[in-house]
Amino acid sequence: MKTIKIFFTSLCLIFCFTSCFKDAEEEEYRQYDGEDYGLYVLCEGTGADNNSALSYYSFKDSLSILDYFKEGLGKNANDMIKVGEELYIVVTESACVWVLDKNTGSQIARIEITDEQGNNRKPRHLTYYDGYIYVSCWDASVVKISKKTHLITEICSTLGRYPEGIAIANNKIYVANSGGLDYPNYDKTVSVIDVNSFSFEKKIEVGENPQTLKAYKNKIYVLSTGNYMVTPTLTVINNSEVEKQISMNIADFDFWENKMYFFYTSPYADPTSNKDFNFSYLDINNLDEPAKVLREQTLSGMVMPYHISIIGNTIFISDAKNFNSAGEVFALDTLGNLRYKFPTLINPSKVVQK
Amino acid sequence: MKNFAIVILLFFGTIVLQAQDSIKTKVLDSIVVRAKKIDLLENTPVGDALQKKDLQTIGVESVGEAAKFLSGVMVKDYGGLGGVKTVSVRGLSSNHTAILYDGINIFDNQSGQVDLGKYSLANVGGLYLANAQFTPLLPTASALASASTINIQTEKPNLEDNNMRSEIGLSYGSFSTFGENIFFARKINNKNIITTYFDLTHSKGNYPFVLHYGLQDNQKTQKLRRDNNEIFSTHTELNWFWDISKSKTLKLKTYYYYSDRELPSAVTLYYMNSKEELYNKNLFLQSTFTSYLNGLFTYKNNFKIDWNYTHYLNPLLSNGLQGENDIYKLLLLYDNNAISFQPTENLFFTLTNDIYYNRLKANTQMDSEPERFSSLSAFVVDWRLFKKLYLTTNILHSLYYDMYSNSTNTTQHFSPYFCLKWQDNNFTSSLFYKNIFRMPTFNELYYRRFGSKDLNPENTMQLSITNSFSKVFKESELSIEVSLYYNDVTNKIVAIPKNIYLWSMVNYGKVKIYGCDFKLGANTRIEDFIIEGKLNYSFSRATDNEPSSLTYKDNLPYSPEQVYSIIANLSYKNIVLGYNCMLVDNRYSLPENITYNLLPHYADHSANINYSYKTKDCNYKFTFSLNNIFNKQYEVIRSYPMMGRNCQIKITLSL
Repeated sequence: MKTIKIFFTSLCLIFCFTSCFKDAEEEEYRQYDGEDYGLYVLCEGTGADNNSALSYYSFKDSLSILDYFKEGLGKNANDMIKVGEELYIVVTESACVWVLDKNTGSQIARIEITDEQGNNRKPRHLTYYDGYIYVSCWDASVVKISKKTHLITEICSTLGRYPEGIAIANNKIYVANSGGLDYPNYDKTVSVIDVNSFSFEKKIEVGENPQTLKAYKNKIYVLSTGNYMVTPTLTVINNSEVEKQISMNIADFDFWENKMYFFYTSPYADPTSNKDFNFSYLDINNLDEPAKVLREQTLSGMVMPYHISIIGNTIFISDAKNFNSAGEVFALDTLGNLRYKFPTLINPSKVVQK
Repeated sequence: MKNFAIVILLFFGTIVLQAQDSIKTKVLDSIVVRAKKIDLLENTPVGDALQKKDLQTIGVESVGEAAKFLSGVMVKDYGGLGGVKTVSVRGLSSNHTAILYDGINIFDNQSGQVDLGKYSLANVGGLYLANAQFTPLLPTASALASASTINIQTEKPNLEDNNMRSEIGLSYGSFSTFGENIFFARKINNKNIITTYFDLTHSKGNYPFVLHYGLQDNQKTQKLRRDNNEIFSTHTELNWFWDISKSKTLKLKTYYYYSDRELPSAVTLYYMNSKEELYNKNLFLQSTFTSYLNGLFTYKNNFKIDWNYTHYLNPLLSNGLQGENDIYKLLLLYDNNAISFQPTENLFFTLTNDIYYNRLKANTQMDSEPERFSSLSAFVVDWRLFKKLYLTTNILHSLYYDMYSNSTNTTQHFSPYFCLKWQDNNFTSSLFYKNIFRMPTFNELYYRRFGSKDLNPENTMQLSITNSFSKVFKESELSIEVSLYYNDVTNKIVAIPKNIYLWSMVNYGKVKIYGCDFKLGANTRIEDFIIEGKLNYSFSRATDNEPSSLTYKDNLPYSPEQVYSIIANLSYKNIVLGYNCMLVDNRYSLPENITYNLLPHYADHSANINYSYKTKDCNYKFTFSLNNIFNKQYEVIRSYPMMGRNCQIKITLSL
């Protein structure tokens, strides 16, 4: 009996390992090999408090260090990327971009994002390309920061209103102009800025209130949420031209192996009952097809799915609970089954591996 | 918990003390009924009071700061002279507390919370707190319609000796704080007295504070100064007291308040820049007419008209319109009629009705102008059942008719109140039960994008038992009071996220509160020294009582479990030394009780010295106060640091 148990257990383990083969173009999902390695989660904190935090989940100890950057990130941390050995974190109300050492979590630099009068530009999202970090700010500017010196080198205007998501493809910077705070007069364009000249080129019209903007395999995907009561629009941009525009129920999305994974929670659900999840995927070449739903209801313990980050073939869904309480991150496989989960501080969003 | 056990012992101890009281007491003779009724009001044990002398010992400028010393009261103070100060009593939010100014409600249907920082203490004779309600002679129905009531009673001068009295005060304090007040009272003839009052305050408010980085202790700190905190405020009042005849009196009041307050905002790590500014203008006229008809009936009318203007500016706020620039205008028309009937010596009936109209103009944040018609009627019975047993009970009928855009909404409720009191010479024991609700505010119903038109009122239930004992000795007095209570709130209005973009206001929350308030007062005279002291200790647990909530059984935000306050003074001839302190327990700034949300406990000690000097024509008084003596850096509300050590000199001339 005992040998059969061991045989089946090792068979299962083998299956686990084989399901972790990586795709050449996506980031490698490191196997846990006994070293001190883990995941960083950016916790946005509540809107009015200085409680943005960086949580770190250690695989070695299987535990979460909820407040990893003890000095305090500030108020309203909004985005995080990893560039080489550094972590860049953008904090909107504290007007800064943090540069942290990804191995120790300690501070390398704090870059102030203010204008000539010393006013907060309100930085929102950031992306990296060829030695420079580009930060989109609510004052309609894109700030270019050198990775080597950690100094701001140039500013360019998007000529739009309240920029949000930013990504780079084909040597062009794409910035979504949401116009979100001008409610109900949203903006509906994406600005294109040339990387080499760092100057504004053109605007592309997408749906109203575009916020999430991601690049995948040289195409740009923009999600426009409108007034939050209508069906969102997904626009696919190829070489600065609109390739496709579809109405799709998406809250957030990310990619793996030519597939787009996304989820959606309806605004019409009863706020005091369980949320729907509608966790689905579609082939990026067949986005017109109906969504292939993997999971309709939230997993047990998941209250408010907030962001999706895919690293290798592990899908991380952050759970913001009621936006006032400590959150959790659920790690799912590509079929929507739970692999593991770990706690974080308030409003977890982006997950980045160490 | 140990403190709680001691208090329970004292609760039963006061009953024992009473039984052992050997001094024979004379039963109170039957006196003029209305005077006896007023005596009953003043002996109401379920609450607290701060008389003029206590207020001078505390030495603060606004009602909001003084209210912290009332038993069971928690003040949400946003710091500095200009910071908003709202009051919550026994764990119930400030929307459940009615604020009365000379007996008539100050209504704020927009936010439901009255900013007590706007009310100056200089012409206040006393602050009275009732846990439930005051039921004096001929109450207004609105005074019976909240879970707690605080009455700001202005001073009526004693002009029996002379026909005229005036007082001028000048003060100067830290951070360029300058204050001036003038009071003038004149007896025109035997039937008419006019009093007029004016005060002015200006302060730069740039006090230093210590900024803490990170969510845990032992992180970096930095010394900074509060910026954009300048305030200018002025208040003027005119009162006319007219004894029309032996049985009719009329009181008229005109009140005007203006303030321009820069708001320094919540502190933000690494970046601080605030250009927020708040303008307030308030003008109201109120009148009270009392008529004692033939010995059996008494009639009273209260009338009020109130204009309130608020202008809020935030040019740095990110929105499409160069920041926020909101103007709110509130209009109130209020009339109360009450009639009481006293068929026997031991029975009093009162019928009282309030009818009032409220309208809000909030063009930038609401699509239409909400209006509310309210009619509240109460039938009150005061009954002396036996020699020492009194019963007060009333049934309140509330009718609210809301009009907004093209839709209307009617709310109707019957709310009971019941209080049984056993009153002996030195000992009082009372028990009350009250079930009342509070209407959703205009902000909760109609605020653009967040309001919910279908909100129901929040309901509260209160149960409280209080024992108090007082004893007068040859040269001293002692009083002890212990009050145990249980409150609960259902249909609490909370904001709940529907998905990651949309929120809605719903009646989802439930709260359970139990606690105990302990009061000890003593004074004694030793030769030329007089020592007076007052100690308040409160223990309470206010918890989330909604089983499906993520924070079920957690303590509510900003509800410390223990609060101590002490007011004491020592007088010697014409010198008075005053001392007060406030000790507040740990509390959480968010609903989840985790260490990252913890606000540490603090103690704020202050002292002052007063020297009085009399000449033939004039009385002089010099006061020097030192506040927050140990420079404790603390926050009442997270991210709003309070002032550290500061001092003030004041000179008052009375003629």
